[in-house]
Amino acid sequence: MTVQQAERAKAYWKENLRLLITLLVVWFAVSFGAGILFAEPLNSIKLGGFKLGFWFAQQGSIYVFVILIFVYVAKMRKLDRKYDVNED
Amino acid sequence: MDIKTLTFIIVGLSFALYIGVAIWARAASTKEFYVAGGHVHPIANGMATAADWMSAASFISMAGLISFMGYDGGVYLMGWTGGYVLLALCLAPYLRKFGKFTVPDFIGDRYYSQGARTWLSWRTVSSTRSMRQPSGICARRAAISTASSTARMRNGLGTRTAFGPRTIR
Repeated sequence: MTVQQAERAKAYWKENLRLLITLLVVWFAVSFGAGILFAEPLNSIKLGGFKLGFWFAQQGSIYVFVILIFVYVAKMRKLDRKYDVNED
Repeated sequence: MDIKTLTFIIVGLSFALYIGVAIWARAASTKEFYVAGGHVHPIANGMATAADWMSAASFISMAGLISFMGYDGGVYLMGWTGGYVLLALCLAPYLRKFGKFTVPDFIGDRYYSQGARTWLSWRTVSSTRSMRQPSGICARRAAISTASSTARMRNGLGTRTAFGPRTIR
């Protein structure tokens, strides 16, 4: 691996990690955060008849999880293209 | 014909079917066995993963857990699904890049440890069994569903390219 390649690989990994951390923060915030830690205060807000904290624990977090996976796939595809490490 | 004979016949027939499919679609290589040679369309693959998420065993034990434990059981669903995010973000891409098909294989090679591989393989088997049996009635269902996913895997329908075969949960 040449010096330039090594630098590119490093930059790729750095961007990869940043994306990973961002998504995992969201992942934690909606599940453990909104669903458990802040469930009580959120429960004072009603959303379509349901308490918001309860909604996050039972449905909201799961929707966000699915969206997160799609976001990750799209972002990673873009990143792979940018650094020319894509498979297709 | 009494119910016992009927049960034996039906279970026997379904096992015969799975074993038949397994023999018919015998895999020649490791790659063929785990990822059907990589010829499964991503959509079909995603559907297989989804089917795994809502397989009969999880469906029954989830419903049981929630009705038995109420709110606390419902949160279990969150972890159940949230695990897929961890899997997709932290494990699957690297597993794929590494060219290994199961998590025990990956860990064993990555950390040069046969011990870690053995321990993880054992954990895989025991956690898959213990997590799916709290409701009791689903024990036989779980066995059948595992047999069917093995058959699916061999058949190349239920291959788990991105997610190792039942290794995580």
